[in-house]
Amino acid sequence: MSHVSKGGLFITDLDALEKVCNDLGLELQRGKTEWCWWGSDAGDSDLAQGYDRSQFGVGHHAIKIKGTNPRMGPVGPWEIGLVTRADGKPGFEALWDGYGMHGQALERVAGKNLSILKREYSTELLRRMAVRQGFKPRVTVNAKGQRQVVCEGH
Amino acid sequence: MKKIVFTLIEEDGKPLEIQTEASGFTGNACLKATEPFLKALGGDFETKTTAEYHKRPEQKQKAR
Repeated sequence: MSHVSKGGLFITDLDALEKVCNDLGLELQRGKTEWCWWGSDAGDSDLAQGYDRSQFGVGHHAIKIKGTNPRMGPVGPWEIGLVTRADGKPGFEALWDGYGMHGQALERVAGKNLSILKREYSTELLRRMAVRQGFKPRVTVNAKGQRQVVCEGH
Repeated sequence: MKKIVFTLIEEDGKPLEIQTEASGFTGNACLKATEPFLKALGGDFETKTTAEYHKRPEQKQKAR
């Protein structure tokens, strides 16, 4: 079994990611070059296209659920890996194995397709960028219930 | 007052979309101001003027 996915989470600011991980109950492990997943590719599922399957489990950094002790292979628990982007652009892309209880455990915290992690990281990144660019940022919700980062300046 | 508003649009089964609106800038200054944010987000992005953006639904209807 192997169900490694990519969900369009691109990381260019590790400090922002680390802050968000802490808030969500995750832990960014900087420099951890192995990320745990099922561990073997049976070629039976939709894998992260554009990535070399032989490189699954290898990356630059890894994210685990706080308090867990990840292990490679079916026993788990597993991690989210931050790997060099397949399209060659700067930054990292997140890959993870969403299969079974260990995949579901990651998605319970980070969201289906990492949606919670993506939303919170994007918000934090925009907020930090705004400060760097001389704007005053505030985070609000509009009438449709959508998150907004409003940046004002002179 | 210069203002940039990023709206995070989440719909089931679709990738996170971030809509950006800038006001209070002159000429292309809004593009220069927003580009660093969009590059940092790392995904693909397209830039449209307000007029171009509001044309989209109409064009979609015609395509049907």
